Amino acid sequence: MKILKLKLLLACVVLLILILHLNKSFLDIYSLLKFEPHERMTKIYGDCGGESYGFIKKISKIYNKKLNLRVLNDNPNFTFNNSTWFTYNVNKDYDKDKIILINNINSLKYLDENKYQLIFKNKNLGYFKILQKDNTCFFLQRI
Amino acid sequence: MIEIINIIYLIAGVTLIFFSPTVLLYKFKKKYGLIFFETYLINIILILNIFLILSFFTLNLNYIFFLFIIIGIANVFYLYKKYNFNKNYLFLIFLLFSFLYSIKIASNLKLEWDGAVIWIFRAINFYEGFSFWNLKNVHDGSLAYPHLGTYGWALVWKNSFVDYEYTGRIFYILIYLISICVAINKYYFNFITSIALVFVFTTLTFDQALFSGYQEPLMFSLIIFIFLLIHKINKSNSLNFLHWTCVINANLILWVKNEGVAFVIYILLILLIEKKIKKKIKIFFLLSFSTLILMKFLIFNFYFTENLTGWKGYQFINFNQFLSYEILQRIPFLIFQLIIIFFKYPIYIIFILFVSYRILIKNFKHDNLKYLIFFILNCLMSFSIYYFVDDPRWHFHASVTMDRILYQTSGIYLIFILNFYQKYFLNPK
Repeated sequence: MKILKLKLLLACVVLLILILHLNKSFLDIYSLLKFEPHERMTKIYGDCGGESYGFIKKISKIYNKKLNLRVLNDNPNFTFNNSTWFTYNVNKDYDKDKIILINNINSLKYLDENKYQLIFKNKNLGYFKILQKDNTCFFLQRI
Repeated sequence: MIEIINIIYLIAGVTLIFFSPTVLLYKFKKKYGLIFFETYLINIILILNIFLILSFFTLNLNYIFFLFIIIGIANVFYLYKKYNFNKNYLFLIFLLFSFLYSIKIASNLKLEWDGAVIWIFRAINFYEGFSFWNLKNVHDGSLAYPHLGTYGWALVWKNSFVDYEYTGRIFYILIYLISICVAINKYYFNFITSIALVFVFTTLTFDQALFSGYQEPLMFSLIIFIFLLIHKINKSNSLNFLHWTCVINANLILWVKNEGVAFVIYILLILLIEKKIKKKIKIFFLLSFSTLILMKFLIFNFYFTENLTGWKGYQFINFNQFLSYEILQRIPFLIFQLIIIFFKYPIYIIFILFVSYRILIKNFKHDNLKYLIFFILNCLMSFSIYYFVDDPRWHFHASVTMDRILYQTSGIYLIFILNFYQKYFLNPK
Protein backbone atom coordinates (compact mmCIF):
# COMPACT_ATOMS: atom_id res chain seq x y z
CA MET A 1 0.00 0.00 0.00
CA LYS A 2 2.86 2.30 0.95
CA ILE A 3 4.73 1.47 -2.27
CA LEU A 4 1.58 2.09 -4.29
CA LYS A 5 1.15 5.51 -2.72
CA LEU A 6 4.79 6.30 -3.39
CA LYS A 7 4.41 5.27 -7.03
CA LEU A 8 1.33 7.46 -7.36
CA LEU A 9 3.16 10.38 -5.83
CA LEU A 10 6.06 9.83 -8.20
CA ALA A 11 3.68 9.70 -11.17
CA CYS A 12 2.14 13.01 -10.06
CA VAL A 13 5.55 14.65 -9.72
CA VAL A 14 6.61 13.43 -13.19
CA LEU A 15 3.32 14.66 -14.66
CA LEU A 16 3.76 18.02 -12.98
CA ILE A 17 7.32 18.44 -14.27
CA LEU A 18 6.16 17.45 -17.75
CA ILE A 19 3.37 20.05 -17.69
CA LEU A 20 5.73 22.73 -16.36
CA HIS A 21 8.19 21.91 -19.12
CA LEU A 22 5.62 21.80 -21.94
CA ASN A 23 4.11 25.03 -20.68
CA LYS A 24 7.56 26.68 -20.61
CA SER A 25 6.87 27.58 -16.98
CA PHE A 26 10.51 27.15 -15.94
CA LEU A 27 11.49 29.77 -18.51
CA ASP A 28 8.71 32.09 -17.31
CA ILE A 29 9.83 31.77 -13.68
CA TYR A 30 13.44 32.35 -14.72
CA SER A 31 12.42 35.49 -16.62
CA LEU A 32 10.48 36.78 -13.60
CA LEU A 33 13.35 36.17 -11.21
CA LYS A 34 16.06 37.49 -13.50
CA PHE A 35 14.46 40.69 -14.85
CA GLU A 36 12.61 43.47 -13.03
CA PRO A 37 9.21 44.40 -14.56
CA HIS A 38 10.70 47.66 -15.86
CA GLU A 39 13.43 45.70 -17.66
CA ARG A 40 10.89 43.31 -19.17
CA MET A 41 8.72 46.22 -20.31
CA THR A 42 11.73 47.90 -21.92
CA LYS A 43 12.73 44.65 -23.58
CA ILE A 44 9.24 44.20 -25.05
CA TYR A 45 8.31 47.77 -25.92
CA GLY A 46 11.80 49.06 -26.67
CA ASP A 47 13.86 51.84 -25.14
CA CYS A 48 13.83 54.06 -28.19
CA GLY A 49 12.16 52.10 -30.98
CA GLY A 50 8.73 50.48 -31.35
CA GLU A 51 6.59 51.85 -28.55
CA SER A 52 9.69 53.33 -26.82
CA TYR A 53 8.70 52.52 -23.25
CA GLY A 54 12.15 53.27 -21.83
CA PHE A 55 12.38 56.78 -23.28
CA ILE A 56 8.80 57.75 -22.39
CA LYS A 57 9.21 56.56 -18.79
CA LYS A 58 12.49 58.43 -18.47
CA ILE A 59 10.83 61.65 -19.62
CA SER A 60 7.81 61.17 -17.36
CA LYS A 61 10.13 60.96 -14.35
CA ILE A 62 11.70 64.37 -15.03
CA TYR A 63 8.48 65.98 -16.20
CA ASN A 64 6.02 67.63 -13.82
CA LYS A 65 2.96 65.39 -14.17
CA LYS A 66 0.26 68.02 -13.96
CA LEU A 67 -0.68 67.36 -17.57
CA ASN A 68 -0.55 64.39 -19.91
CA LEU A 69 2.20 64.31 -22.50
CA ARG A 70 1.20 63.77 -26.11
CA VAL A 71 3.25 61.05 -27.77
CA LEU A 72 3.64 61.30 -31.53
CA ASN A 73 4.49 57.86 -32.74
CA ASP A 74 3.93 57.44 -36.44
CA ASN A 75 2.91 53.94 -37.29
CA PRO A 76 1.98 53.54 -40.94
CA ASN A 77 2.23 49.75 -41.09
CA PHE A 78 0.73 48.69 -37.76
CA THR A 79 4.12 47.35 -36.71
CA PHE A 80 3.72 48.63 -33.17
CA ASN A 81 0.88 50.14 -31.21
CA ASN A 82 -0.11 52.93 -28.90
CA SER A 83 2.46 54.42 -26.50
CA THR A 84 0.19 56.96 -24.82
CA TRP A 85 -1.00 54.66 -22.03
CA PHE A 86 2.46 54.28 -20.45
CA THR A 87 2.08 57.58 -18.60
CA TYR A 88 -1.57 58.47 -19.14
CA ASN A 89 -3.73 59.92 -16.37
CA VAL A 90 -7.50 60.22 -16.67
CA ASN A 91 -9.14 63.69 -16.57
CA LYS A 92 -5.91 65.57 -17.22
CA ASP A 93 -5.51 67.69 -20.32
CA TYR A 94 -2.63 67.27 -22.70
CA ASP A 95 0.30 69.65 -22.40
CA LYS A 96 0.12 71.87 -25.48
CA ASP A 97 3.72 72.98 -25.22
CA LYS A 98 5.53 69.73 -24.71
CA ILE A 99 5.53 66.72 -27.03
CA ILE A 100 7.33 63.40 -27.17
CA LEU A 101 8.28 62.43 -30.71
CA ILE A 102 9.18 58.80 -31.27
CA ASN A 103 10.90 57.05 -34.21
CA ASN A 104 10.44 59.92 -36.56
CA ILE A 105 13.49 62.03 -37.29
CA ASN A 106 12.08 63.12 -40.66
CA SER A 107 9.31 65.11 -38.95
CA LEU A 108 11.81 67.57 -37.48
CA LYS A 109 13.10 70.24 -39.82
CA TYR A 110 16.35 71.83 -38.60
CA LEU A 111 16.24 75.65 -38.58
CA ASP A 112 18.98 76.42 -36.09
CA GLU A 113 20.53 74.97 -32.92
CA ASN A 114 17.49 75.76 -30.78
CA LYS A 115 14.74 75.86 -33.33
CA TYR A 116 13.09 73.01 -35.22
CA GLN A 117 9.88 72.92 -37.20
CA LEU A 118 7.69 69.91 -36.43
CA ILE A 119 5.67 68.57 -39.36
CA PHE A 120 3.88 65.37 -38.38
CA LYS A 121 1.77 63.51 -40.94
CA ASN A 122 1.85 66.57 -43.25
CA LYS A 123 0.55 68.81 -40.48
CA ASN A 124 2.60 71.76 -39.29
CA LEU A 125 2.61 71.63 -35.50
CA GLY A 126 4.84 74.70 -35.00
CA TYR A 127 8.35 75.47 -33.77
CA PHE A 128 10.09 73.53 -31.02
CA LYS A 129 13.40 73.15 -29.24
CA ILE A 130 14.80 69.81 -28.15
CA LEU A 131 14.82 69.31 -24.38
CA GLN A 132 16.04 65.74 -24.47
CA LYS A 133 17.18 63.43 -27.24
CA ASP A 134 17.95 59.74 -27.42
CA ASN A 135 18.67 58.39 -30.91
CA THR A 136 15.39 58.95 -32.78
CA CYS A 137 13.34 59.86 -29.71
CA PHE A 138 12.81 63.51 -28.79
CA PHE A 139 11.27 65.47 -25.96
CA LEU A 140 10.25 68.80 -27.46
CA GLN A 141 9.25 72.18 -26.00
CA ARG A 142 7.23 74.68 -28.04
CA ILE A 143 8.90 78.06 -28.59
CA MET B 1 10.67 37.03 -6.04
CA ILE B 2 8.30 39.76 -4.90
CA GLU B 3 6.43 39.39 -8.19
CA ILE B 4 5.87 35.67 -7.67
CA ILE B 5 4.60 36.30 -4.13
CA ASN B 6 2.39 39.05 -5.50
CA ILE B 7 0.92 36.69 -8.11
CA ILE B 8 0.17 34.08 -5.42
CA TYR B 9 -1.43 36.78 -3.26
CA LEU B 10 -3.64 38.01 -6.12
CA ILE B 11 -4.71 34.50 -7.10
CA ALA B 12 -5.61 33.80 -3.46
CA GLY B 13 -7.41 37.15 -3.16
CA VAL B 14 -9.58 36.78 -6.26
CA THR B 15 -10.27 33.10 -5.50
CA LEU B 16 -11.46 34.09 -2.02
CA ILE B 17 -13.65 36.89 -3.40
CA PHE B 18 -15.52 34.34 -5.50
CA PHE B 19 -16.18 32.16 -2.44
CA SER B 20 -18.99 34.46 -1.43
CA PRO B 21 -21.93 34.18 -1.19
CA THR B 22 -21.70 30.37 -0.82
CA VAL B 23 -23.47 30.59 2.56
CA LEU B 24 -26.55 32.01 0.91
CA LEU B 25 -26.45 29.41 -1.83
CA TYR B 26 -26.08 26.48 0.54
CA LYS B 27 -29.83 25.90 0.75
CA PHE B 28 -29.87 25.42 -3.06
CA LYS B 29 -27.07 22.85 -2.92
CA LYS B 30 -29.33 19.87 -2.30
CA LYS B 31 -32.37 21.28 -4.03
CA TYR B 32 -30.63 21.61 -7.41
CA GLY B 33 -27.82 19.10 -6.82
CA LEU B 34 -25.10 21.74 -7.03
CA ILE B 35 -21.55 20.48 -6.74
CA PHE B 36 -18.75 22.70 -5.45
CA PHE B 37 -17.65 24.17 -8.77
CA GLU B 38 -21.24 24.88 -9.79
CA THR B 39 -21.76 26.88 -6.60
CA TYR B 40 -18.49 28.64 -7.36
CA LEU B 41 -19.73 29.41 -10.88
CA ILE B 42 -22.94 30.94 -9.51
CA ASN B 43 -20.85 32.95 -7.03
CA ILE B 44 -18.80 34.38 -9.89
CA ILE B 45 -21.93 35.36 -11.82
CA LEU B 46 -23.41 37.07 -8.75
CA ILE B 47 -20.17 38.83 -7.78
CA LEU B 48 -19.51 40.03 -11.33
CA ASN B 49 -23.02 41.49 -11.43
CA ILE B 50 -22.30 43.28 -8.16
CA PHE B 51 -19.05 44.59 -9.68
CA LEU B 52 -21.02 45.76 -12.69
CA ILE B 53 -23.33 47.76 -10.44
CA LEU B 54 -20.40 49.10 -8.38
CA SER B 55 -18.67 50.28 -11.56
CA PHE B 56 -21.37 52.95 -11.90
CA PHE B 57 -20.31 54.50 -8.59
CA THR B 58 -17.09 56.21 -7.56
CA LEU B 59 -15.81 53.80 -4.90
CA ASN B 60 -12.41 52.91 -3.55
CA LEU B 61 -11.22 49.69 -5.22
CA ASN B 62 -9.05 48.76 -2.23
CA TYR B 63 -12.05 48.78 0.11
CA ILE B 64 -14.13 46.73 -2.35
CA PHE B 65 -11.34 44.16 -2.77
CA PHE B 66 -10.73 43.67 0.93
CA LEU B 67 -14.41 43.72 1.88
CA PHE B 68 -15.12 40.90 -0.56
CA ILE B 69 -12.05 38.97 0.61
CA ILE B 70 -13.29 39.15 4.22
CA ILE B 71 -16.74 37.95 3.18
CA GLY B 72 -15.07 35.20 1.14
CA ILE B 73 -12.95 34.03 4.09
CA ALA B 74 -16.06 33.92 6.28
CA ASN B 75 -17.73 31.71 3.66
CA VAL B 76 -14.74 29.36 3.49
CA PHE B 77 -14.71 28.88 7.28
CA TYR B 78 -18.44 28.38 7.47
CA LEU B 79 -18.59 25.82 4.71
CA TYR B 80 -15.20 24.13 4.95
CA LYS B 81 -16.53 20.75 5.97
CA LYS B 82 -19.74 20.87 3.96
CA TYR B 83 -17.94 21.15 0.62
CA ASN B 84 -14.90 19.01 1.42
CA PHE B 85 -12.42 21.44 -0.09
CA ASN B 86 -9.43 19.35 0.92
CA LYS B 87 -10.63 16.48 -1.30
CA ASN B 88 -11.47 18.70 -4.23
CA TYR B 89 -8.33 18.04 -6.25
CA LEU B 90 -9.70 19.82 -9.31
CA PHE B 91 -9.61 22.99 -7.25
CA LEU B 92 -5.91 22.38 -6.58
CA ILE B 93 -5.36 21.83 -10.30
CA PHE B 94 -7.17 25.11 -10.94
CA LEU B 95 -4.84 26.93 -8.52
CA LEU B 96 -1.76 25.32 -10.06
CA PHE B 97 -2.73 26.29 -13.61
CA SER B 98 -3.73 29.78 -12.46
CA PHE B 99 -0.21 30.24 -11.20
CA LEU B 100 1.40 28.82 -14.35
CA TYR B 101 -0.62 31.01 -16.71
CA SER B 102 -0.26 34.09 -14.51
CA ILE B 103 3.52 33.85 -14.64
CA LYS B 104 3.22 33.39 -18.39
CA ILE B 105 1.40 36.73 -18.58
CA ALA B 106 3.93 38.31 -16.22
CA SER B 107 6.96 37.16 -18.18
CA ASN B 108 5.55 38.39 -21.49
CA LEU B 109 3.57 41.42 -20.43
CA LYS B 110 2.96 43.03 -23.82
CA LEU B 111 -0.44 44.56 -24.49
CA GLU B 112 -1.69 43.71 -27.95
CA TRP B 113 -3.39 46.13 -30.33
CA ASP B 114 -6.92 46.68 -28.93
CA GLY B 115 -5.62 46.24 -25.43
CA ALA B 116 -3.22 49.18 -25.81
CA VAL B 117 -5.56 51.35 -27.87
CA ILE B 118 -8.98 50.86 -26.27
CA TRP B 119 -9.22 48.64 -23.20
CA ILE B 120 -6.25 49.84 -21.14
CA PHE B 121 -7.67 53.38 -21.01
CA ARG B 122 -10.91 52.06 -19.55
CA ALA B 123 -8.93 50.06 -16.99
CA ILE B 124 -6.91 53.19 -16.11
CA ASN B 125 -10.19 55.08 -15.61
CA PHE B 126 -11.32 52.60 -12.94
CA TYR B 127 -7.79 52.18 -11.56
CA GLU B 128 -7.67 55.92 -10.85
CA GLY B 129 -10.93 55.69 -8.95
CA PHE B 130 -13.39 56.98 -11.55
CA SER B 131 -16.67 55.36 -12.46
CA PHE B 132 -18.41 54.30 -15.67
CA TRP B 133 -19.79 57.83 -16.11
CA ASN B 134 -16.29 59.21 -16.52
CA LEU B 135 -15.45 56.97 -19.48
CA LYS B 136 -16.44 59.69 -21.92
CA ASN B 137 -13.47 61.76 -20.67
CA VAL B 138 -10.98 59.01 -21.38
CA HIS B 139 -8.35 59.38 -24.10
CA ASP B 140 -9.46 58.25 -27.56
CA GLY B 141 -12.29 56.49 -25.77
CA SER B 142 -14.35 54.54 -28.22
CA LEU B 143 -17.43 55.30 -26.19
CA ALA B 144 -19.61 52.50 -27.42
CA TYR B 145 -17.54 49.72 -25.86
CA PRO B 146 -18.80 48.05 -22.66
CA HIS B 147 -16.54 47.98 -19.64
CA LEU B 148 -17.12 45.06 -17.25
CA GLY B 149 -13.85 43.24 -17.98
CA THR B 150 -11.78 46.37 -17.52
CA TYR B 151 -13.37 46.95 -14.10
CA GLY B 152 -12.12 43.53 -12.96
CA TRP B 153 -8.73 44.27 -14.52
CA ALA B 154 -8.49 47.57 -12.62
CA LEU B 155 -9.72 46.05 -9.36
CA VAL B 156 -6.96 43.44 -9.29
CA TRP B 157 -4.29 45.84 -10.59
CA LYS B 158 -5.17 48.41 -7.92
CA ASN B 159 -4.72 45.84 -5.17
CA SER B 160 -1.43 44.50 -6.42
CA PHE B 161 1.86 45.19 -4.62
CA VAL B 162 3.57 45.50 -7.97
CA ASP B 163 2.17 48.48 -9.79
CA TYR B 164 2.08 47.13 -13.34
CA GLU B 165 -1.07 46.66 -15.37
CA TYR B 166 -0.35 42.98 -16.16
CA THR B 167 -1.24 42.08 -12.57
CA GLY B 168 -4.86 43.04 -13.30
CA ARG B 169 -5.03 40.63 -16.20
CA ILE B 170 -4.72 37.73 -13.74
CA PHE B 171 -8.45 38.32 -13.31
CA TYR B 172 -9.08 37.04 -16.86
CA ILE B 173 -6.82 34.01 -16.30
CA LEU B 174 -8.74 32.96 -13.20
CA ILE B 175 -12.19 33.23 -14.77
CA TYR B 176 -10.97 31.45 -17.90
CA LEU B 177 -9.54 28.53 -15.91
CA ILE B 178 -12.58 28.30 -13.68
CA SER B 179 -14.79 27.94 -16.76
CA ILE B 180 -12.68 25.03 -17.99
CA CYS B 181 -12.61 23.39 -14.55
CA VAL B 182 -16.39 23.76 -14.10
CA ALA B 183 -16.95 22.07 -17.45
CA ILE B 184 -14.63 19.20 -16.49
CA ASN B 185 -15.98 18.91 -12.96
CA LYS B 186 -19.41 18.09 -14.36
CA TYR B 187 -18.15 14.58 -15.24
CA TYR B 188 -16.33 13.39 -12.09
CA PHE B 189 -13.08 12.36 -13.74
CA ASN B 190 -10.22 11.05 -11.58
CA PHE B 191 -7.16 13.14 -10.71
CA ILE B 192 -4.93 12.06 -13.60
CA THR B 193 -7.72 12.43 -16.19
CA SER B 194 -8.72 15.82 -14.76
CA ILE B 195 -5.21 17.26 -14.87
CA ALA B 196 -4.69 15.84 -18.36
CA LEU B 197 -7.98 17.34 -19.55
CA VAL B 198 -7.22 20.75 -18.03
CA PHE B 199 -3.83 20.65 -19.75
CA VAL B 200 -5.25 19.56 -23.11
CA PHE B 201 -8.10 22.08 -23.06
CA THR B 202 -5.92 24.98 -22.02
CA THR B 203 -3.41 24.03 -24.71
CA LEU B 204 -6.23 24.02 -27.25
CA THR B 205 -7.84 27.27 -26.13
CA PHE B 206 -5.22 29.43 -24.42
CA ASP B 207 -4.23 32.18 -26.83
CA GLN B 208 -1.64 34.39 -25.16
CA ALA B 209 -2.35 37.30 -27.53
CA LEU B 210 -5.97 37.39 -26.37
CA PHE B 211 -4.89 37.60 -22.74
CA SER B 212 -2.92 40.71 -23.67
CA GLY B 213 -5.65 43.20 -22.96
CA TYR B 214 -8.51 41.75 -25.02
CA GLN B 215 -11.89 40.91 -23.53
CA GLU B 216 -12.37 37.69 -25.49
CA PRO B 217 -11.27 35.29 -22.71
CA LEU B 218 -13.91 36.71 -20.37
CA MET B 219 -16.60 36.30 -23.02
CA PHE B 220 -15.30 32.76 -23.69
CA SER B 221 -15.81 31.91 -20.01
CA LEU B 222 -19.21 33.56 -19.59
CA ILE B 223 -20.56 31.66 -22.58
CA ILE B 224 -19.35 28.37 -21.08
CA PHE B 225 -21.08 29.37 -17.82
CA ILE B 226 -24.40 30.05 -19.49
CA PHE B 227 -24.32 26.76 -21.41
CA LEU B 228 -23.60 24.84 -18.21
CA LEU B 229 -26.54 26.64 -16.61
CA ILE B 230 -28.78 25.75 -19.55
CA HIS B 231 -27.90 22.09 -18.93
CA LYS B 232 -28.89 22.56 -15.30
CA ILE B 233 -32.18 24.38 -15.90
CA ASN B 234 -33.30 21.71 -18.34
CA LYS B 235 -33.92 19.51 -15.34
CA SER B 236 -36.27 21.91 -13.53
CA ASN B 237 -39.88 22.52 -14.45
CA SER B 238 -40.77 25.69 -12.60
CA LEU B 239 -39.20 29.11 -12.62
CA ASN B 240 -36.44 29.15 -10.03
CA PHE B 241 -33.15 30.59 -8.87
CA LEU B 242 -31.18 28.94 -11.72
CA HIS B 243 -33.31 30.66 -14.36
CA TRP B 244 -32.56 34.00 -12.75
CA THR B 245 -28.85 33.14 -12.65
CA CYS B 246 -29.04 32.43 -16.37
CA VAL B 247 -30.56 35.88 -16.93
CA ILE B 248 -27.91 37.72 -14.92
CA ASN B 249 -25.23 35.73 -16.72
CA ALA B 250 -26.69 37.02 -20.00
CA ASN B 251 -26.47 40.50 -18.51
CA LEU B 252 -22.72 40.02 -17.98
CA ILE B 253 -22.28 38.89 -21.58
CA LEU B 254 -23.88 42.15 -22.74
CA TRP B 255 -21.46 44.26 -20.69
CA VAL B 256 -18.23 42.62 -21.80
CA LYS B 257 -18.27 43.27 -25.54
CA ASN B 258 -20.71 44.55 -28.14
CA GLU B 259 -20.88 41.14 -29.84
CA GLY B 260 -22.51 40.05 -26.59
CA VAL B 261 -25.87 41.25 -27.94
CA ALA B 262 -25.64 38.78 -30.82
CA PHE B 263 -24.54 35.96 -28.50
CA VAL B 264 -27.41 36.67 -26.09
CA ILE B 265 -29.86 36.54 -29.01
CA TYR B 266 -28.45 33.14 -30.10
CA ILE B 267 -28.73 31.85 -26.55
CA LEU B 268 -32.31 33.09 -26.39
CA LEU B 269 -33.06 31.29 -29.63
CA ILE B 270 -31.58 28.09 -28.22
CA LEU B 271 -33.67 28.44 -25.06
CA LEU B 272 -36.80 29.01 -27.14
CA ILE B 273 -36.34 25.85 -29.20
CA GLU B 274 -35.35 23.74 -26.18
CA LYS B 275 -38.03 21.05 -25.80
CA LYS B 276 -37.56 20.54 -22.07
CA ILE B 277 -38.21 24.16 -21.14
CA LYS B 278 -41.82 25.08 -20.45
CA LYS B 279 -43.61 27.78 -22.41
CA LYS B 280 -44.00 30.20 -19.51
CA ILE B 281 -40.26 29.96 -18.76
CA LYS B 282 -39.52 30.64 -22.42
CA ILE B 283 -41.65 33.79 -22.19
CA PHE B 284 -39.74 34.74 -19.05
CA PHE B 285 -36.44 34.41 -20.91
CA LEU B 286 -37.75 36.30 -23.91
CA LEU B 287 -38.92 39.22 -21.76
CA SER B 288 -35.91 39.35 -19.45
CA PHE B 289 -33.27 39.06 -22.20
CA SER B 290 -35.06 41.71 -24.28
CA THR B 291 -35.23 44.03 -21.26
CA LEU B 292 -31.50 43.62 -20.62
CA ILE B 293 -30.60 44.32 -24.24
CA LEU B 294 -32.88 47.36 -24.27
CA MET B 295 -31.46 48.64 -20.99
CA LYS B 296 -27.89 48.47 -22.22
CA PHE B 297 -28.88 50.09 -25.50
CA LEU B 298 -30.63 52.95 -23.69
CA ILE B 299 -27.73 53.61 -21.30
CA PHE B 300 -25.24 53.84 -24.15
CA ASN B 301 -27.56 55.80 -26.43
CA PHE B 302 -28.64 58.38 -23.87
CA TYR B 303 -25.36 58.88 -22.11
CA PHE B 304 -22.75 58.35 -24.81
CA THR B 305 -25.11 58.87 -27.81
CA GLU B 306 -23.30 55.99 -29.41
CA ASN B 307 -24.04 52.33 -30.08
CA LEU B 308 -21.66 50.26 -32.08
CA THR B 309 -22.26 47.57 -34.69
CA GLY B 310 -19.08 46.11 -36.12
CA TRP B 311 -16.24 48.63 -35.81
CA LYS B 312 -16.20 52.45 -35.70
CA GLY B 313 -17.53 53.83 -38.99
CA TYR B 314 -19.11 50.49 -39.94
CA GLN B 315 -21.66 50.90 -42.73
CA PHE B 316 -23.76 48.34 -44.58
CA ILE B 317 -23.62 48.06 -48.37
CA ASN B 318 -26.77 48.99 -50.29
CA PHE B 319 -29.43 46.33 -50.63
CA ASN B 320 -29.02 46.17 -54.43
CA GLN B 321 -25.32 45.32 -54.02
CA PHE B 322 -25.92 42.15 -51.99
CA LEU B 323 -25.50 39.85 -54.95
CA SER B 324 -23.31 42.04 -57.11
CA TYR B 325 -20.23 40.42 -58.65
CA GLU B 326 -17.90 42.66 -56.65
CA ILE B 327 -19.43 41.60 -53.33
CA LEU B 328 -19.80 37.93 -54.28
CA GLN B 329 -16.05 37.85 -54.85
CA ARG B 330 -15.64 38.16 -51.10
CA ILE B 331 -17.07 34.69 -50.48
CA PRO B 332 -13.95 32.55 -51.25
CA PHE B 333 -11.74 34.80 -49.11
CA LEU B 334 -14.14 34.69 -46.17
CA ILE B 335 -14.58 30.92 -46.38
CA PHE B 336 -10.80 30.56 -46.48
CA GLN B 337 -10.53 32.78 -43.40
CA LEU B 338 -13.03 30.58 -41.58
CA ILE B 339 -11.01 27.47 -42.40
CA ILE B 340 -7.80 29.14 -41.20
CA ILE B 341 -9.51 30.04 -37.92
CA PHE B 342 -10.71 26.46 -37.41
CA PHE B 343 -7.06 25.40 -37.58
CA LYS B 344 -5.95 28.25 -35.35
CA TYR B 345 -8.45 27.11 -32.71
CA PRO B 346 -8.46 23.31 -33.23
CA ILE B 347 -11.35 22.92 -30.81
CA TYR B 348 -13.47 23.68 -33.90
CA ILE B 349 -11.88 20.88 -35.90
CA ILE B 350 -12.50 18.41 -33.08
CA PHE B 351 -16.08 19.64 -32.74
CA ILE B 352 -16.75 19.30 -36.49
CA LEU B 353 -15.27 15.78 -36.51
CA PHE B 354 -17.33 14.66 -33.51
CA VAL B 355 -20.54 16.20 -34.87
CA SER B 356 -19.95 14.57 -38.26
CA TYR B 357 -19.38 11.23 -36.55
CA ARG B 358 -22.61 11.54 -34.58
CA ILE B 359 -24.57 12.47 -37.69
CA LEU B 360 -23.01 9.61 -39.65
CA ILE B 361 -23.90 6.99 -37.07
CA LYS B 362 -27.35 8.61 -36.78
CA ASN B 363 -26.94 9.34 -33.12
CA PHE B 364 -27.34 13.10 -33.26
CA LYS B 365 -29.78 13.91 -30.46
CA HIS B 366 -31.88 17.00 -29.88
CA ASP B 367 -29.65 17.78 -26.87
CA ASN B 368 -26.72 18.39 -29.17
CA LEU B 369 -28.65 20.59 -31.55
CA LYS B 370 -27.91 23.71 -29.51
CA TYR B 371 -24.17 23.39 -30.16
CA LEU B 372 -24.70 22.95 -33.86
CA ILE B 373 -27.14 25.88 -34.05
CA PHE B 374 -24.75 28.09 -32.12
CA PHE B 375 -21.89 27.05 -34.40
CA ILE B 376 -23.83 27.75 -37.59
CA LEU B 377 -25.22 31.07 -36.34
CA ASN B 378 -21.83 32.25 -35.17
CA CYS B 379 -20.11 31.29 -38.43
CA LEU B 380 -22.87 33.04 -40.37
CA MET B 381 -22.56 36.16 -38.25
CA SER B 382 -18.76 36.23 -38.58
CA PHE B 383 -19.15 35.80 -42.32
CA SER B 384 -21.92 38.42 -42.70
CA ILE B 385 -20.08 41.18 -40.82
CA TYR B 386 -17.42 41.30 -43.54
CA TYR B 387 -19.66 40.35 -46.45
CA PHE B 388 -22.12 43.19 -45.93
CA VAL B 389 -19.71 45.96 -44.94
CA ASP B 390 -19.21 48.97 -47.15
CA ASP B 391 -15.49 49.30 -46.54
CA PRO B 392 -12.67 48.79 -49.04
CA ARG B 393 -10.52 47.39 -46.21
CA TRP B 394 -12.99 44.58 -45.43
CA HIS B 395 -10.34 41.88 -45.99
CA PHE B 396 -7.99 43.55 -43.52
CA HIS B 397 -10.75 43.67 -40.88
CA ALA B 398 -11.69 40.06 -41.63
CA SER B 399 -8.13 38.82 -41.25
CA VAL B 400 -7.52 40.57 -37.92
CA THR B 401 -10.86 40.33 -36.13
CA MET B 402 -12.79 37.31 -37.41
CA ASP B 403 -10.72 34.87 -35.35
CA ARG B 404 -11.55 36.73 -32.16
CA ILE B 405 -15.30 36.56 -32.81
CA LEU B 406 -15.05 32.81 -33.22
CA TYR B 407 -12.73 32.37 -30.24
CA GLN B 408 -15.27 33.90 -27.86
CA THR B 409 -17.77 31.12 -28.39
CA SER B 410 -15.37 28.24 -28.87
CA GLY B 411 -15.60 27.29 -25.18
CA ILE B 412 -19.04 25.74 -25.49
CA TYR B 413 -17.68 23.04 -27.78
CA LEU B 414 -15.58 21.84 -24.86
CA ILE B 415 -18.82 20.78 -23.18
CA PHE B 416 -19.89 18.91 -26.31
CA ILE B 417 -16.47 17.23 -26.58
CA LEU B 418 -16.55 16.26 -22.89
CA ASN B 419 -20.02 14.79 -23.39
CA PHE B 420 -18.74 12.82 -26.34
CA TYR B 421 -15.63 11.69 -24.47
CA GLN B 422 -17.66 10.49 -21.52
CA LYS B 423 -20.23 8.72 -23.67
CA TYR B 424 -17.89 6.91 -26.05
CA PHE B 425 -14.71 6.43 -24.03
CA LEU B 426 -15.75 6.18 -20.39
CA ASN B 427 -19.25 4.73 -20.64
CA PRO B 428 -19.29 3.15 -24.11
CA LYS B 429 -22.47 1.18 -23.37
